[in-house]
Amino acid sequence: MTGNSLSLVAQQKIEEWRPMKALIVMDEARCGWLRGVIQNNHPGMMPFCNKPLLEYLLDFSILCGCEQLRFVMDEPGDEIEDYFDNGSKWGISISYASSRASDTLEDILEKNSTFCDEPTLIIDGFCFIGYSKNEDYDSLSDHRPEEPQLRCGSGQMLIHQHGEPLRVLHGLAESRLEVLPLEAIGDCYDISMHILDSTSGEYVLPGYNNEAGVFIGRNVTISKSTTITKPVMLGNNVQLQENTVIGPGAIIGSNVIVDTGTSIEKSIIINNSYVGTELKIKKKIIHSTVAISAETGTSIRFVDDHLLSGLKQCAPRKMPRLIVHWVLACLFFVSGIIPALLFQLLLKKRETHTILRHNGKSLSIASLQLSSNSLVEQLARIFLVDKVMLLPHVLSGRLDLVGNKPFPATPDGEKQYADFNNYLPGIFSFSESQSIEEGDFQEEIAERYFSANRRFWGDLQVIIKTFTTRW
Amino acid sequence: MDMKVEQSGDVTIVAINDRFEAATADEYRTTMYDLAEKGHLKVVLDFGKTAFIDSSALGSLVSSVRKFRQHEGDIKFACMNEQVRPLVKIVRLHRIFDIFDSVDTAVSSFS
Repeated sequence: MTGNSLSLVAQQKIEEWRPMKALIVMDEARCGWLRGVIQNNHPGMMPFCNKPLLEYLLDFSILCGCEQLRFVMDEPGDEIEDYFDNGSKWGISISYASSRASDTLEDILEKNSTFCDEPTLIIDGFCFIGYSKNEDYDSLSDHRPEEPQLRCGSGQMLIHQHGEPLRVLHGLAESRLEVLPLEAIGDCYDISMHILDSTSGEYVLPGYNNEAGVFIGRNVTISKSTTITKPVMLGNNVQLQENTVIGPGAIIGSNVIVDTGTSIEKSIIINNSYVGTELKIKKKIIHSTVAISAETGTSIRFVDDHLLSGLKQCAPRKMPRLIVHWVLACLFFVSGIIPALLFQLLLKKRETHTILRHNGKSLSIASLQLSSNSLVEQLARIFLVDKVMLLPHVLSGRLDLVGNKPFPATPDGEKQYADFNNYLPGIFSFSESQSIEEGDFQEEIAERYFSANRRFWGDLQVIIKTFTTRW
Repeated sequence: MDMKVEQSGDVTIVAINDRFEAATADEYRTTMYDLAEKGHLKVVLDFGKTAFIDSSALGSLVSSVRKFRQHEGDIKFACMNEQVRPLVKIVRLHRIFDIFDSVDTAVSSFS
């Protein structure tokens, strides 16, 4: 064979192995620690310099030549699909799959065998990929045992070719390519600061970047008396009030307000946070009401909203729906309060317990616990006396008329709350209208399904069904 | 409900090619009961052409897999289309069921 033929064979071999697809596998066992630190976000959406971790992995997959990508998670988050959708924004086709917590990587490949029918790049675990948008990764899949493997304690990069064993990839000579562990909040901080300080040119980062070391998003309001020292990164919808001192080394996310006189240095303010007045924030990560030390990982939750608070919107409560609920609640209250008070005098079974509202705050309610033991209790159930007693909470806006069965304000209840999208507690619940036994697994299915498919007419059906069920 | 049942060795493939909702869940329950009675405890549900699924159907899926697993059988999902996959994710059924993107690999996973 001539030299040219050899190079053609070698070239063909390289092209056979060049990944056309990417599989990003992120399991809760390795990323779940971050939920205990920064709540309400899937760990894959953890921002590094205002860009989600998964988007860095997506960018890298595109650099490797992938045209299709699939996210596989055992605890998928809606925010991931909302953000990435079908991938058209990046010119790549994105799909989603779920796995079970007990699945190994081989099980996941088996379950996604149709997707992985071509050479597939696999990024497995919870890790950051250090790469450069200016480098060429065409030969990434070549076997280079002399180079270090692309793996770390919490993740690895592999290549899958149908009919061949899985192979961990090796680095490239004279390349930035590396796999960095994400095992503690300090790792996230160090990587973000390193990108901001030194390697921002290697990645596609959000924001207007007319000057080295300065990234500014849309709709940013900066007071004339604000001092900004680069490197600094500001997200979208940021307000910097009078006499604030920002930087050096400040990463401020989107929807953030930094109030008068506060200084932020070598710190990260994650999206949807309010930072109060006259604070000095140095080497910290701030998310909503929580301040985390970048050095020790210790976190403190602030209860004073004037110091730190969250600006995140809870589940949306649409005004027309609220108005209709309020009007119905008024009608029920007016027609039912006198009989309800009479029954309450007869029964004397009021109990106080604490539930979680839609914003996660606790609410004490006094309610009647009715069984079917006596005729009086049965009549009270039929006339919805227990519901009438809770109507003042609907009139005051603390509860909805129709919504989810309220979670108790207990540690278990808070776990359920954190895991439940669009939780809106109501006094008429979907699962009750379906006569589903309390505590049955069907209850959770029904409540989640109802939350995802909430309709105005559906709310009315719930009320009517509850009436007819009790009658 | 348009439901096709076929055998692939000792695995039964049940394709749900229609709306899977409260009105049709009874037919599903009857079919699964008949399969269990006949000893066909390895079932793959093919959702490739399922047009719609509601909470009653999701509940009947969970109750059927409970019964099958009590008798050392199992039910696996295959070909989740975009009408079904988001709902299965919302109600967290992926924690209970193995989900495959092809019927063939779901069938071979039983061995």
